[in-house]
Amino acid sequence: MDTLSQEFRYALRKLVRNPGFTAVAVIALALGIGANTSIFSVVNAVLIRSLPFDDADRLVVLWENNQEQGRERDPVSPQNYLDWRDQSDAFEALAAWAYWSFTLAGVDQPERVSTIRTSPSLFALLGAEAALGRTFTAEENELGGPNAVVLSHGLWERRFGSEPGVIGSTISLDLEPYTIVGVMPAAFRFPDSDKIGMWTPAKFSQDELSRARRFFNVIGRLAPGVSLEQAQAEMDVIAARLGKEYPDTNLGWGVAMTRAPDLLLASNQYLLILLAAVGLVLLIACANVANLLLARAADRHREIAVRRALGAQRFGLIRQLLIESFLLAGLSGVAALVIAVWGIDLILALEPGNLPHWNKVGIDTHVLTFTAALALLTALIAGIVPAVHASRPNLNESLKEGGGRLTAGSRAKGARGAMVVTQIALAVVLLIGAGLLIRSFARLLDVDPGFNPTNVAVANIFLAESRYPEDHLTVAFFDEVLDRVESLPGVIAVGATTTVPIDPVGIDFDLPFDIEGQSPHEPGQEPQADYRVVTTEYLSVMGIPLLRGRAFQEGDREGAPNVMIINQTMARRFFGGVEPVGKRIRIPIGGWFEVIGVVGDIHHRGLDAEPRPELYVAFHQQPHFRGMVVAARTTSDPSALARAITREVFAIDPDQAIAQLTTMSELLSGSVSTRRFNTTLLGGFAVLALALAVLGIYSVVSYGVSQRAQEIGVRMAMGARGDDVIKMIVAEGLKLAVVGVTIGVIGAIALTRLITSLLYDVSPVDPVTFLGVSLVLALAALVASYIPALKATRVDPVLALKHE
Amino acid sequence: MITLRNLEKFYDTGAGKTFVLRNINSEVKDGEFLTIMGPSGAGKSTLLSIIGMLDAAWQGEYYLYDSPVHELKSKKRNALNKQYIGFVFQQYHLLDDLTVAENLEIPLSYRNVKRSERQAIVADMLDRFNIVAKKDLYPSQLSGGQQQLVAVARALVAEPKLILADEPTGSLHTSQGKIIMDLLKELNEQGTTIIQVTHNEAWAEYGDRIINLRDGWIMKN
Repeated sequence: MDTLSQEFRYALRKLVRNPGFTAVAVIALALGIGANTSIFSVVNAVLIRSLPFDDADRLVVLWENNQEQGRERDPVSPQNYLDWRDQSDAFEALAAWAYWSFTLAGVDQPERVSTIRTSPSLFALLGAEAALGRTFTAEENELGGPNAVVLSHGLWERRFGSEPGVIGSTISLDLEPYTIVGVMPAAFRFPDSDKIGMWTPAKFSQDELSRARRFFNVIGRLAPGVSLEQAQAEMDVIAARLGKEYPDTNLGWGVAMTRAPDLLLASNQYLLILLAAVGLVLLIACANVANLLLARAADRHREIAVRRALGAQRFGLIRQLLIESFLLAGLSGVAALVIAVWGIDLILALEPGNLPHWNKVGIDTHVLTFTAALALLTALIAGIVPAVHASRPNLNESLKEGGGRLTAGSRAKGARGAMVVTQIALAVVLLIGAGLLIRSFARLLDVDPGFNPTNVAVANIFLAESRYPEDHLTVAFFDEVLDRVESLPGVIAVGATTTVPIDPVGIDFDLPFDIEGQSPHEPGQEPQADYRVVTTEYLSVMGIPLLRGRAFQEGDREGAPNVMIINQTMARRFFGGVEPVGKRIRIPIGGWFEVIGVVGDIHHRGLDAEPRPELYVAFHQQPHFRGMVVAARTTSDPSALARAITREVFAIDPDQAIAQLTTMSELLSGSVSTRRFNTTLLGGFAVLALALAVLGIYSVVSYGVSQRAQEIGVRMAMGARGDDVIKMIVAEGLKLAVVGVTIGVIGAIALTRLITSLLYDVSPVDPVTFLGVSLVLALAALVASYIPALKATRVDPVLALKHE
Repeated sequence: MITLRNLEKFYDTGAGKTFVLRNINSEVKDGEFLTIMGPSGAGKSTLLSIIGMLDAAWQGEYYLYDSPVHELKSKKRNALNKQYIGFVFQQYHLLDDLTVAENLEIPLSYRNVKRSERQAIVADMLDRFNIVAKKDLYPSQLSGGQQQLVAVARALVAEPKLILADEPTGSLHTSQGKIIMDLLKELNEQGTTIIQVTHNEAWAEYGDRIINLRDGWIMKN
C-alpha cells in the first residue's frame, strides 16, 4: 500500500512535469469518454430506465396479425382481447389500452389532455399502485358504471396544485363529470411518455366491441415459468378457434407477440448503433494515447533500465506505468463528465423528436458508474501495450553511454504503426457510416412530399360528444371556425380534414372498398384505402394537385350525390388503364360514392414511407367525426396565427380546447428529426474520429522525423534535396494510410449492413461514399505527413551529425 | 565471491557467430577492488552487465558466492542482484523526475523496506555523503560531480556487498573524478567489493588488480 501510494505520487508528478503530453492525452481521452457518456446517458434514459417495472422481462406486447394481408402487427379488437383474456392460461394478466384525449374544463382554461383508456388490470399487471387514492375497480369499467379518472403526478401538480384533497372530487372531461379516484406516483409512466396526463377505464362501447374494429393495444404479464414460445403456442390455438367461430372477422388472423424489453430495443436500435459508433471514437482516442505512451516509453527506456538495474521487477514496472495510465484516465473521466454535460445539452438541442423519456436524459448514478468503468477500461486499453512494451528494455544497451538517445527499435516502431493503422481503419468505418447517413438524409430531403408545407398553420380540435351529439352541430361549429379563421389577417385560405399529412395526431384509418363493375371480394379480403374527410378548400390549402376531374365544390353537401376524390396510387393500382373519374366506389361508411377527381400522391406517413391508396370524401356529406384538423395557409409566418385561432375557437365555445397548434413545416421537420439526429451525431463522431486519426498520423510521422534527425542529416550531407526528404517522409505516412484505409473499407463493407434500416435510397456499399471517404483519408494523411516532412527539410546536417 | 568459468557471449549474425566475450575465466575475492580495462568494443561493459545480471544471454558458468547464476531463472537472479549488487554508471542515470532523496529511496522501495526505515536510511546516507542540503533538488539542478556522488550513494543505500562501476568518472572533470575514486576506495577499505571499468590509467591504479580485455579475450589478468 505504501509502495503503491509512492508510485501514485511519482506518477502524478510525472504527468505534472510533462504538461504538454498530459494535456494532449487527457483531451483525447476526455473527448472519447465524454462522447460515450453523452450517448450512454440517452441510452440510459431510453432503454435502461424506461421500463421501471418489476420483472419487466415477463411483460409481453401482443398484436393481431394477418399473413395473407401482409399485416404484421395490427392493434387488437376489444372483443378478441376479452376472449384472449378469458381463454388463456399463459398470462398472469392481460390489459388493453388505447390513446385517447379529453378536454379538461372547469379548471382555469380548457385543455386537451392526452389520456389512456385502459382495462383496470393494467396497474396490477405493471406492479404499480396509486400514490394517492386508488386505481380502478371492475365496476368502474362497466358500461354505465361510475366515471372515474386517475391523474398523472405531473397533471396533479400542474393543474391541481398538488392538492391531496382532489381525491373524490369531480372534474369535467369532454363536459362529462368524472370522479378523481387516484394520483399515480411521479415515477410512473405508461406508456413511455410524460405527455400522458390521465388514465380512464376502457369501458368498451357496444360499437367498439365489433371484432372488425381493431384499435386497442394489449400488454400481458407471462405467468411464472411460462416461456414466450409456450404463450405463443397457446395464443395460436385460441386465434385459430376464434377464426373458426367468427370467420367474417377473424379468419386468417393470428396473434403476434414480443417481450416488451425486446420491443423497446428494436424500436430504438439506432441508439445502440450510435453507442457502437461512439465506442469506435473512444478506441481511436485510446490508440492515439497508446501511441503517445509508446513514444514516451521510448524516451523513457533509460529510466526503465535504471529502475530494473536498481532491482525493480517487471511486474512492478508494468504496475508503475499502468498507474500513470489510470491517472490519465481518471483525469480524463472527470474532464469527460464536464464534456458530457455539454454533450447532453448539444444532443438535447438537436431535438430528436419522438425519442421517449427525452427529458430524463442526464447524469445519474448509472451514467457515473458507466463513466468510471469506461475510464478504467480506457486506462487498460491505452496503457497495457506501452507498459508491457516498456518493461522489457535492453538493459545492456540502454545503460551504455549515449543510451538515452537510442531509438526505440523496430518493435516499438511497428507497434506505433499498427496503432495508427487501427485509428485510420476505425475512422474510415465511421466516416463511411456517417457518409451513408448524410447521403440518405440528403435524398430524403429531396423527396417531394406531394403537398406544400410552407406557411400552413394547423390546429387539432376534438369536440365533446355531450355538447355536439348531432352531426349538424359539428358542421356548424367547424363552419364557423373556418369562417372566422379565413377572415383573420394574413390568411389566404382555410380548410379542415380528419388528419393532416405527417401528423400522428388525428383520425386516421383505412377502410375496405369495392369498385362498381369489378367482381366483389370475399368479406375480409377487400382492398383497403386510407379514409380522409375533407372540407371543400382543404386540398387546395395543402397544395395537393388535382390531376384529373374536378375538386370538391360548395354543392357537394348532404342530399347531393355522394362524391369522392382518390389519389394517384389508388387510381393506378385498382383501375389499371381505365379512367376512374365517373366510376363508383362503395365503402362501409356512406355506401356508394362517385369518383369525381384524382389528386397527386402525398407522403402521408413520412417522407420515407411510400404513398398508399387514399380516398377523400366531402365533410358536408360525411360529417361523422368530431375531431378535425383546421389548416390555414397564410402569407407570412404561420406560427403567429396560433393565438388568433385559439381566440376564435374560444369565442365560439369557451369550453373547447385545442389539442395541438403547429405548422406543417414543423411537422415535416419533426418527422425527419430522428434521421437528422442520427446523421448529425454520427457525422460529428466521424469528424472527431478523422481529427484524432490525423493527429495520430501526424504524431507518429513527427516522432519518426525527430528520431531520424541524424539519418536525415547524413542524407542531406550526401546531397539529398528538400523534395527528396519530403517524399521519403510523406511516403511513410501514406503507406500507413493506404493500409489503414484498405482495412477500414473491408471493415465498412462488413459493418454498414448493420445500418441498412437507417438508410434511405442509398446502398450500404455505396461506391461514391466509399471512394469519397478513402480520398478524404488519403488527403488528410498527406497533409498530416507533409507538415513534419517540411520540418525535416530544415534539419541542419552539421548539427544533426554532431548530435550523436 | 565471484567465479566465472568459460564464459562466452556472441551474436548470431546469420553469416556466423560474432563473439563479444570468449572463454572468460576469472575469480573475484571478497573485498577486492578489481579494474577492467581495454579498448572500445573489447567487451568490458558487457562483462560488467553479465556480472550485474543485467544481461542474461550468455553461456558458461557464473557463481556468485555459492549461487550458480547460470542455472537461475530470472526471478531468482533478480533477487540475487537485489541482495548483493549496487551499480554506478558513467552517465549517473539518476531518475530525472525524482529528487535526490527519492532517488536514494528507490532501491530500498524495490527491496520492500518499510517507509519509516527507508527514510531513516536515506537520512543517514544523505548525512554520510554530506548532501543533506540537496535532498529536495532534482538531478538537473546538480553538477555532474554532485550527480555522480548521489549515484554512488544510491548504489550503496541498500548495503550491497559488490559495487559495479562502469566508467564512474568518465563524464567528470579530473578533480571531481578524484573525489569519486577516493570515495570508492574508502568504501572498498570498509569491506565493499568493487569492480570498475575504466580507460583511465590513473583511476585503474586505485584497484588491487587489473584485467585487460581485447576482442573479448582476457589478455592480462
